[in-house]
Amino acid sequence: MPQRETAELLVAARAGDSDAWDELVERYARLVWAVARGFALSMADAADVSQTTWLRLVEHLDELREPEHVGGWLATTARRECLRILRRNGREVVGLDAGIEIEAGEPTPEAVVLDTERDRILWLSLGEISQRCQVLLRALATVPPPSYQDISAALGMPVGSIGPTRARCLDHLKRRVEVHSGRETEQQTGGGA
Amino acid sequence: MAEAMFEPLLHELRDVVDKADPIPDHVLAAAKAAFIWHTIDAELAELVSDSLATSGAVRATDAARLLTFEGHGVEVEVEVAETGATRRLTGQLVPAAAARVTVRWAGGATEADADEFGRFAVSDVPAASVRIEVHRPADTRPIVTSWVSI
Repeated sequence: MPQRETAELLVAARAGDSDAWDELVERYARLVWAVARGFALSMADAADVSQTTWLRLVEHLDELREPEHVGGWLATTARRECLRILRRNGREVVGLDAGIEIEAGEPTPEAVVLDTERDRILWLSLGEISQRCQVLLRALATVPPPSYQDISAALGMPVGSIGPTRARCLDHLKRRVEVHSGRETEQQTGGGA
Repeated sequence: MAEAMFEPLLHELRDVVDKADPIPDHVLAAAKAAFIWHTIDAELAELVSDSLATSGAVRATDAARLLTFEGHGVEVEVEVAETGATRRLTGQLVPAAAARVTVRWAGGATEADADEFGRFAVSDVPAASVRIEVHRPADTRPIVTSWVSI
């Protein structure tokens, strides 16, 4: 049902309906942003990726063959743009087919807006897991929740691998959270080995 | 299922990401504004080659980036050089032809003439999403390239 609505929006946008376009943007802009930031791009580079991705969609609006898969198309376009920018910045991109391994980006300052210790730990932990897991979990955490087809496009990974990878990534995240939570407890009790 | 067990964590993550790294308003606005380019009356030359996408080079920053656009019987070859915060584009039209060349981005544009050998150069282009428009005297519609982030 939602996919059909997406296709309708695309068809309406083709005919010049700017409200339909805005709705399409509202639906997928956060996924595109999640992919760019999941690849640890700076705010400015992520904004560039977003802009290029949406401009490309405008460019191809009239000839997109499967309007219902526009989310996947956007995610694929965003991922490719991210990889270009990473190369331009001289950051390592290895084994794209097998998975994504990229040198970790700079630590992010966003944690300052998080007001609970639990939130801070979760945000910190997210930055410590593999880049592929970061892209995957950030894409999964997008509102509205994307389909597995869209996620698969964001990662360049078969749909069938998403479920198991998702479970593994959440497990990695959970372990990092436990490590940090453990440290907190130790500090609070004045303990630690 | 193991997956279901972690659902609360994903839910928590959604809230944290939403607080710590929401999509900026200007990014959302720019995506909406991109729609104005839909009605442009021109022929598209698609990006067919990008040295950043094909070289596999780890140190891509050392070399200039080469882009090739193709469509409607025209090839636009562009070399992108970083000049501080801005970019210098040096290009070649194939087949060679004199033309008016416009490099356009969301906030502006800059123009140059391609000489009879189809060569052109444009400086002080911002590091942003840009496209190149080529107006040859004989064409009824201009040729525009794909948008590319430089």
